[in-house]
Amino acid sequence: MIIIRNLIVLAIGATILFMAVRSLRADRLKERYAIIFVLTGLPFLILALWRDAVGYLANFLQIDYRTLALIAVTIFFMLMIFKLLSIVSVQERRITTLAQHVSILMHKQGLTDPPDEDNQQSTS
Amino acid sequence: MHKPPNNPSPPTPHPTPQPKCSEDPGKCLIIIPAYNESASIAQVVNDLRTHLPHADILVIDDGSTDNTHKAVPSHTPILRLPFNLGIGGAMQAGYRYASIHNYDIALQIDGDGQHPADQAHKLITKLTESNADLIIGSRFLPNDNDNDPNYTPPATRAAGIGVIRTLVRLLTGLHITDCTSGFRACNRDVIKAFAHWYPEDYPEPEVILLLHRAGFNIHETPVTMRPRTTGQTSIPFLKGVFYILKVTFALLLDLSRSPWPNKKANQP
Ligand SMILES: Nc1nc2c(ncn2[C@@H]2O[C@H](COP(=O)(O)OP(=O)(O)O)[C@@H](O)[C@H]2O)c(=O)[nH]1
Ligand SMILES: [Mg+2]
Repeated sequence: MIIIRNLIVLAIGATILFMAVRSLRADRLKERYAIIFVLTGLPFLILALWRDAVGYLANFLQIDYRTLALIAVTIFFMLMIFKLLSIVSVQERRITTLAQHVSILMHKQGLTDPPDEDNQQSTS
Repeated sequence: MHKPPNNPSPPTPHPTPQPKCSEDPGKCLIIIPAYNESASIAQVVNDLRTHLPHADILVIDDGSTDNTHKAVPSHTPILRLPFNLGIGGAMQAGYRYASIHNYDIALQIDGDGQHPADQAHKLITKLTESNADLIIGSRFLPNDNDNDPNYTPPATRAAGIGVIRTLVRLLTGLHITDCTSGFRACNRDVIKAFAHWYPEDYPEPEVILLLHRAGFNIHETPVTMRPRTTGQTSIPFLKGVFYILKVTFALLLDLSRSPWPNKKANQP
């Protein structure tokens, strides 16, 4: 039973790590964001190898292991969402700046029709 | 094709003294943000050409889907944003343009016709005659010399405007009556600051707070405005309460920001 459980946990962790490495190699994920996936996969691997890790830590902190697990997962996801939103915000700013420069340059060059697919349906 | 109406004397190269301003205010750019304003934009541009013949005009077409750019009178520069950026991003495109082309004054006026062109000179005059860096055209300040009934918003909107006014006053100590007015004129320092950074969410009230904290002077001058006749407002009636909450939140967050170097600190 324990072996099967360990295998499942191991499989989850390995899959997450595998996905991260694959995306990284396919250039669909930046190195600095791959860390998020590594951090997700690692706990599973640790759990597979050291079955009682959570219980040990809970005992150490003197709280229920379920509470600890919940807190850990919550904190992890909050950090991850925070990181993702901050990435999105920076990108959005940059896209805005680019769009502004594009419009100024196109005006300077006398190019009047920007190739925007969104607005195509309204013409003719 | 499009001739500015009622303009008997087109701008001529020989120097004619300007009666409106005591001194030459410098190169002025009028920035008109327009999002789906095809019904009103031509009138706005033509009125401005009549009333401010010496100023340059720039229309920002903020990814409109109604062919707003085709309604703009010919020989008017248009920046066509590749997609909708919202009022903050659209205005900043204009300020970037003004900064690149070394304008001394930028006047911002809505493309929906709510800001009458014949009021625009008041902002420029006030800007050149006072020590202010930004002049806001206010619907609520009493007019000193005429009896024009000033714009009265619906009761709920007036309440919202009151909340923002109080908030700005608490946070800055400034008594600005029309914090959401998009009828404004600013000088070169502010143009440069805006080109560098501009708020995206609720730029009109946010700019007041941020400029003030960066040491810029902000004044108001009374103007008359018209209620909206075409297109649609960016602040739908029902979303009013939510809007106030979001503006409050944005302003409080802005307390932790200083996007521009302090103006006073830079002066010798
Ligand atoms: N609603 C809206 N207006 C925009 C946008 N970008 C630029 N504008 C222009 O910003 C100006 C002010 O918008 P408006 O809806 O009239 O604001 P209000 O007068 O405060 O209700 C108008 O000239 C719009 O055309 C945008 O993304 N949405
Ligand atoms: Mg308006």
